[in-house]
Amino acid sequence: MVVLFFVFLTVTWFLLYALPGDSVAQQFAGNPNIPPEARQVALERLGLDKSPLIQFRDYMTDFFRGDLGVSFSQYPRPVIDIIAERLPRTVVLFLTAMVTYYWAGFLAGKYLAWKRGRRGETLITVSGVGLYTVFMPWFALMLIWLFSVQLDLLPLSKFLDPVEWREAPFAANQVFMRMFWVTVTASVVLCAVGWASARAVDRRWGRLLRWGGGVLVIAGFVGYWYGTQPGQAMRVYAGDIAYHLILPVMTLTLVNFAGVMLLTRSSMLDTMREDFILTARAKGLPERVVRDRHAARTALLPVATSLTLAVATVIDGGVITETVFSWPGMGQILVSSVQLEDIPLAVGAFSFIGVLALIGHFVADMLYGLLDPRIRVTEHG
Amino acid sequence: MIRSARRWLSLVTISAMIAVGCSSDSETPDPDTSDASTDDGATAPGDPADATYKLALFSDPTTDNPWAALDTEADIWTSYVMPGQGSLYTYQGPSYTLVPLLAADIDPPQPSAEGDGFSVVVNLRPDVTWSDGSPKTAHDLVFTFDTVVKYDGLGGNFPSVWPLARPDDPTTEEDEFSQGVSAVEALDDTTVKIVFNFDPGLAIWPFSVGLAPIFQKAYWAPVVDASPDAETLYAASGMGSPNGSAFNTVEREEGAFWRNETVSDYWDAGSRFRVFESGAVEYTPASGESETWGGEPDGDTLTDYTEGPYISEMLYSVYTDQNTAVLALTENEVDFILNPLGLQSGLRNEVLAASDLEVIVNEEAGFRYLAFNTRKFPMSELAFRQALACRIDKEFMTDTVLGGSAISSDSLVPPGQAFWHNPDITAPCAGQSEQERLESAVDALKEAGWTWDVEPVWDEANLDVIPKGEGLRGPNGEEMEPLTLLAPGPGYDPMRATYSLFIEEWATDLGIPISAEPTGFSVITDRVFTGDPLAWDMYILGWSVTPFPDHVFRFFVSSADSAQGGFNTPGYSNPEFDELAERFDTVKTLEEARDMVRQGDAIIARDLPYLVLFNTPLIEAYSSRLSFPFTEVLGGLQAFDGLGGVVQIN
Amino acid sequence: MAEKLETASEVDQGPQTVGGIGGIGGGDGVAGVGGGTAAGGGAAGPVVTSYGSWWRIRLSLLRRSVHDNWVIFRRNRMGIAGLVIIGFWMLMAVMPSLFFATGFWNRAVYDPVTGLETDPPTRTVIMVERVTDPRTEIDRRAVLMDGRIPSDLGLGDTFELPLQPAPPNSRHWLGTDPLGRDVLSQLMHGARSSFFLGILAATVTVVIATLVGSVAAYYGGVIDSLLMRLADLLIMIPGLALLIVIGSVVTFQLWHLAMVIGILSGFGGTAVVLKSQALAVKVKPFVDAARVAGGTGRHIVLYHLIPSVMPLSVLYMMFTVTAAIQSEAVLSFLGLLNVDTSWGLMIQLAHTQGYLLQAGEFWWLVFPAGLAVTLLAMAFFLLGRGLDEVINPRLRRR
Repeated sequence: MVVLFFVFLTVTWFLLYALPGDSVAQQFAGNPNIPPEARQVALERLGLDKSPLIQFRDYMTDFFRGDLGVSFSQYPRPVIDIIAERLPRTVVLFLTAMVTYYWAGFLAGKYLAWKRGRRGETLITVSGVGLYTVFMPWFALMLIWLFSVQLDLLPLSKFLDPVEWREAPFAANQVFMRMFWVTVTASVVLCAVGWASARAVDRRWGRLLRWGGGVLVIAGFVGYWYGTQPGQAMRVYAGDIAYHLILPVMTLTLVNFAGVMLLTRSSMLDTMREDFILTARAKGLPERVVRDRHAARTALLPVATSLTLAVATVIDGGVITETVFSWPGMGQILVSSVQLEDIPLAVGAFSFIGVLALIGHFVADMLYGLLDPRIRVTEHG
Repeated sequence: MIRSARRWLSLVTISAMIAVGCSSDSETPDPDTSDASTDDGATAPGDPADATYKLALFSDPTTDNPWAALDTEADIWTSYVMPGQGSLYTYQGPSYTLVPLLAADIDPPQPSAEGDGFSVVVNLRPDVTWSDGSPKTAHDLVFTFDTVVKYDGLGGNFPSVWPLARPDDPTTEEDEFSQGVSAVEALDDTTVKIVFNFDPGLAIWPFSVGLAPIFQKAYWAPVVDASPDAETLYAASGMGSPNGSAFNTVEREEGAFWRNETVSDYWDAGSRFRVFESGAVEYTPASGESETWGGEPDGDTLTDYTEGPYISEMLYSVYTDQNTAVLALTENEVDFILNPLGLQSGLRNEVLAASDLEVIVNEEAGFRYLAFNTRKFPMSELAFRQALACRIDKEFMTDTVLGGSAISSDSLVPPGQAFWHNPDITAPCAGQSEQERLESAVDALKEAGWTWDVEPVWDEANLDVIPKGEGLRGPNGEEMEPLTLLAPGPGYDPMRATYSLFIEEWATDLGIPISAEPTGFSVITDRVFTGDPLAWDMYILGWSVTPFPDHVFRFFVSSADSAQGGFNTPGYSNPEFDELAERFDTVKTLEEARDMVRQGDAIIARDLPYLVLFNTPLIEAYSSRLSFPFTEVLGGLQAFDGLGGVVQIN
Repeated sequence: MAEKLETASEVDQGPQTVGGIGGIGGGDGVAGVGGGTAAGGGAAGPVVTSYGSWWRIRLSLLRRSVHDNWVIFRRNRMGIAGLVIIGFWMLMAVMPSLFFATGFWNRAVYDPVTGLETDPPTRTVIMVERVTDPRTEIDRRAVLMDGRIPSDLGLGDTFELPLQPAPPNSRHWLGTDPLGRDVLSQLMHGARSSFFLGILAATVTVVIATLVGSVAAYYGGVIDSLLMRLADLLIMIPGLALLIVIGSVVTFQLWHLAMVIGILSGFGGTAVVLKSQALAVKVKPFVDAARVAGGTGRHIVLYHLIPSVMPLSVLYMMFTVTAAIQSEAVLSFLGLLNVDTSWGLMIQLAHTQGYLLQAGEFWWLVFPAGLAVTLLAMAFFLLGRGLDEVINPRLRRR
């Protein structure tokens, strides 16, 4: 895998290097105020006057020492700085969106499979596929127009309201990170409670644990933003970000849920032919229980795998969304760094995608083994 | 089987909870966070009202360091938001007259011979202060120059505003000093001497060095001392550093917004400016005698205003999509959009229809052009260039094809620069019908000895060229190789892409085998500026130009051939023009310079290394709660960064 | 390990599907025939002739299975809808040739790139100082910039302003764009570009993916791991970002894009899916039979594995078409594609010229192209789902 990553980096680096011109030429050619002699200065400063192999060797040496170099287009800002600024924004937006659309898609898919052949099926499928194939930039703009201009319900774009954030005591990224961790913690605790309640010996205890635990976590979550520092101080700002999050998340959900829906549907249809579903039905369990407890859970396997893999493509998918919603994340960096021929920044961004992809693959493997006992057996064997 | 369904459900619920739970909070903002900045308002005349001037940007400013903003970060967005450092002289809107700012001498003093070189002694105004209230003195100017010298001239825009007299310049072959400034000395607090190692023309003094930004010694000297190289200096934060304007940057959230607050005691507040049609400026300081700058007042008064600022702060928000920025404008989320290209023509109706927006149209300071590689046959033949230019009907292109969203243009100096513009320049075959154009082109080629196997003829019945020209040969019987016209693709600029296709068609009619090739912008610039100078035939690109039109010479003088790294991409070489350019380098008066520019412009229009094609109108819209002292100005309000210093909010 | 990494839906069902049905040209019966031929052939000469009869049998089987499958497919309303939409756009793509050939359209006016309406409809506008209604008034300052308007016009004068873009009229059924070109003609030519792009990309994908999948599955070992690592690499590279990079390196034409998409998906995700399919077929008795009968590796790959994988490839072809059409639109939208005419470019022009926001007033600039992208992409997707039901019996209605 490390070799794969190295190949990936090399390919990316040389592709970018092969771009016509360089970062300096871009600045130079567009601006007659920059005299020719300034060009040489700039080339030397960026190390672009050396041969490509030496540049590549130097870059790689630094890279594996953990130094991603200095951005050309935002010289002399370190690349890692820029990525650290952008990554949380992208991650928060797309994780939220992904969880939402996977959830929506899963529910819809479950419904479709169960209601196979009924009336709603065609309608839902066609509208889902229609949204899935809609031309995204235009669709996003129309949603903005509808919800922000006509209905005046949601903010136009951006991730915060500058007027509100004037003299804010926090940088936006602090708030992003805080929101991220608080949400993740709450979710993990909630999952743990669910897991424990399902394994509780006594059914009544289990229910109590589930509800009690749920309420406690929610109370803790609310309490964090209202009762503690810096949660309390950040609340307004976190709220502002969350408010700005709604529209892009909604857009991404509408556009993407159909993919998950169709995946779940196929997976469910497959599962429903399995013997254990027949057994469950034969036992006289209610349809809802068979559907949610038995069929859906098994059908979740490929869906969960695909979710993990989709994490890796987060940045890629962000290009259009981030541009239309003025959401300054990795997608924007990716496009602009390539267009400005900022090789260190572009390779840095690409390498983060690569790392995410690797992690995604790894987690997908783990998850597969964890969720599907059949795989576990074959892998041991 | 883990309870996975519930896991996803819970995650969603929680995210939804933050969204809903907290957004209800955000709608009733804490009073003490949102209005905290208003009590430190300025005390200038007209007491800056508690008002925020909200502007939209299309891209994030990349640095808050004013040094870096002139060098590595020299992009337009950073320059919009960065408060000006101030210089000896400056341009006065809307006439672009050169007027004193820090200098006390109304007209820039003439250089006088001194030792090996020449020097100017400039008196400074004693009442000019930095944004922190400390006086701006000759020592600041000396410090700025010394810093540029310390870092070996710096890069980006620095070499053009502070050309240094340096030995062994990498661009000159001979081992001699390059022409530039060799020293800046403070004679006392308000007198500064600038020494050149040559006799500087207007282009250098005052139009480069006189406009060079000045940095405050007190703030920057410790930073410079601690910075062994320019990188370290550029990496330092410039947030809140003293500058020469009425604003101070106080806050910045990368990717989102940038905030400049009005300084409490701007030195020029309350001064009255009256600009006349002739370009003269009548200046009346808040306390003191009035002066007249830039010649005798004549003609209508273009504007008459009192310097503010009248606002409490400038708040710049980043919108990466033009459409959302316009929506923000119509929703009054922003007051004005800063964009060098203005609004696209399609958005005009959208903003016109909004009742609370004002729309203005100005001419852009620039031009789009077709360049010929005069190093190669057949572009080397004057008759060829003239015949092709004759076939290109610019009025038809701008008015019919581009539907009025472009302005036909013939001169390297836009007509908006009335002082410099040469009104006598006309394009070859201007005003002729398509038939006449064809015939003139054919005649021009024939006269120069060109021949066809099949001569193109205008067919009146079909209103077309039938038959088209075939087998065109040069005066010495040279055969024509297929030619390529590089133009930006329709995705980058549909206007230039379409233009290139029409040129292709017109040329083909004549028997010239041109094929228009849509090419990426950076591919074109790479090929024509830095690549093999013989590797291209023709291309279409554009320039934006500065108020002092020395580009007329810099783009075509033979010593600036792009093969040597200069801007003369066509490889144009004309001794008559070079001689004129040399004289322009040492010209001392504006009138002489104007005559030379007009003459040079006319030579280029005759010899056609460039064929200027068109210019675009710049459409801007602003909230009607704003009022500006002037809105008719070349380059639009964006050219003055949105006029934060004088805008009033009703 | 790689088999379970793909994102596509068919992954985990893949291995069990094809063997069970007489899918398009797949299945056990065919295999029997193929095996027999191989056994009888042996030397190079006779093999050639027997291949001929092999193909004949194969064709008749194909005909039969196509008929059977059509019966199944016909019941899938969505698949049919997809087919109808595709048919409609094919018709649209052919129309311009017809129009130009019959002289119904004049090239000078209706050419999608250089066409120009020189006599557009006009609208009477009155010159005012401040415009409140852009439909009937024109700005005094705008006049100074617009060469179409006589310079002697004063405040209060009326003027016939040529409309560009012009709304739909008798000459231009879908109006003209900001450069005076016919929108309908562009739409029709755009359909051509889309079909060309989609089908080329899909063909490249399927050819590569089928070969890679079958070879990797049959030979295993080093070849398998090399090919699968390559697939992992390509899956890891963000497609759009890569297209942006390549788009900046070369002057991107439509067929470049098709090849890049084809290669990316052919060596990447699709190859992985098809490999797992081929793996399932590889262990079937008929493959063993062929091997025992002396079939070479090349023979088994060509005549057993590839045909068995084919139905699934066709399905993936449909999804690749969808992806290709959308990639084109997005790349055009970002201004990175150098094509003469395409739907993406039409949207991009409307966007950069600022008409996207005025979808109500300038609907003919916004909706035709936008809907076309969606509809055609959707049609191929629906067709793919329809075929899925044919190929994958588990999804069929019980």
